[in-house]
Amino acid sequence: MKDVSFELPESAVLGLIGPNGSGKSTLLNIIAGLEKPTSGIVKLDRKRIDNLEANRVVGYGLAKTHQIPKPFSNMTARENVAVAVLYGRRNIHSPSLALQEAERILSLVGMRSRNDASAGSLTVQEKKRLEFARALATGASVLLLDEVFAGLSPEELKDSIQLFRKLHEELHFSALVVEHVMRAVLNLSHKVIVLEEGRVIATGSPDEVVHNDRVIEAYLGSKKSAA
Amino acid sequence: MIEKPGLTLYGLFIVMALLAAAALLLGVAVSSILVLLLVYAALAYSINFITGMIGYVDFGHVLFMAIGSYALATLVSHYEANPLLGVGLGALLGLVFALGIGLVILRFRGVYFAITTVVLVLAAYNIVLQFPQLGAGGEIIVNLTFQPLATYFTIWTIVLIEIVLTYYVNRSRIGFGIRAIKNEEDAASSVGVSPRTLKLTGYMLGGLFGGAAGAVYAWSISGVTAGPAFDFTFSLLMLAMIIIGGVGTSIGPLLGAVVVYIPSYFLLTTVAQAQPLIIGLLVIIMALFLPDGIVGLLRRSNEHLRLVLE
Repeated sequence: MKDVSFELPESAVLGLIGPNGSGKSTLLNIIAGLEKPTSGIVKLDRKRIDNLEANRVVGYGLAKTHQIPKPFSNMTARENVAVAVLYGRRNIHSPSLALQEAERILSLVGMRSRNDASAGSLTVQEKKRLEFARALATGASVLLLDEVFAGLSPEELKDSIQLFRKLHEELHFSALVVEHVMRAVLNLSHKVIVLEEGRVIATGSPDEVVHNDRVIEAYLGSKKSAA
Repeated sequence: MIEKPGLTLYGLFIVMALLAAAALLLGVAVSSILVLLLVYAALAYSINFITGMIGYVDFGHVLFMAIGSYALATLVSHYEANPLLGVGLGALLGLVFALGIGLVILRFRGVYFAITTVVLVLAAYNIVLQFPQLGAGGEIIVNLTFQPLATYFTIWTIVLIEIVLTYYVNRSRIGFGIRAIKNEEDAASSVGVSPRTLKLTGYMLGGLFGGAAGAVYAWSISGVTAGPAFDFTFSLLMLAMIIIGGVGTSIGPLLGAVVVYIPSYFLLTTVAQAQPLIIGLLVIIMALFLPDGIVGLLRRSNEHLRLVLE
């Protein structure tokens, strides 16, 4: 990654797109403390977080979902979310209160009926929602969402986009959304950053970005080489 | 905030009360038979904090038992101390060693962790042989008057503490964090759980109680010898106990200790070599068909038990 610099304003949704291997996931991992940058800094509310371990970053109000969902398979959906409530930054230390709160969050993401289902038995869509619910449950003000909309059927995608909209209006979190599904990013983001080979090649509103020549070239190859 | 205890804990209390009553009413003969059962149970609960709860397979747990054994034997035979002090020292040293060792080896995961624990025991065995203070050939004989009830109620108390601690750890915030780590360590840290802290906590609890149980064991057999003290069979027996009983649970280690102890007691006098064979077969069968042990079997057999057994 080189010369990547951007800001995520409060309660904004920032889309991060780019071809495979452009560094989207690496960037997210660096922000979340899963990988250490060789140079450069990451700040959250003016506090540096790039030298913290992943679990400490959560205490500063940042939570990341996993591209491939990683549920705690031997626990119920509710217990999964309760872990996040107990260890996030909510100051809830009683398991019974955490389980109640977990129930509330699961119903927010439309999974009320799956409270007591073993997390390992959930469908892909449900596992993605569980990832999202866990991130929310930590009390994070900044969410890093790694392909939460990928692999869904058109119907599921529509539902998920609507759900995200609704939750964002209610909870006012900021989100950095890495996504291959263009329909989702362009629909939800206030601003989009396009990466290619570790560099930013375009920034702007969703509309601007899709009409940008550099971006079209990055995705489809240049006109010259096509000819 | 402490929540209302469930039936599992009351059930365990009744079993412990019966064990106490048996020793008091039936006397020396019974208590000297049952003391080994309680040592087994104490060891099973101690390894349960590591392998049962966190899911890191510890083949080297016998190390903490040996540390406790040597602590008591040295203190009692060289300094004529009260054996209870020896048990205290065994527990303390178990804890301290677990802290030091855990800081290093808990960085490894899965099979790498397991192999490291094996190597540790081999190393410790050879280190002990180098110290003449620990007896020629690592053998120390403890000369104490026969005090079966004192030994018995010491280990009884240790097991009782372990039961209560296991029960409340499982129900507490820490228990949620530990279960998350056992499932998906990386996902756990991404919701704020610190795997390093919680793994070390579990490992230190295992060291503490392993040391205490090892001390009582040396007390009950009047000494310690390097060969048997570092015998892998003990590590394997402990693992067998929690696998058979039900890993991570409050009731499983006691169930497993009973299942492993009974054949070992009767076979010791007839065919000692058959013990590992029988227990080994049992573990294989359990691992194949009942990975969550007797507790899992009971839970599945009855809806009511599913909610009650912890």
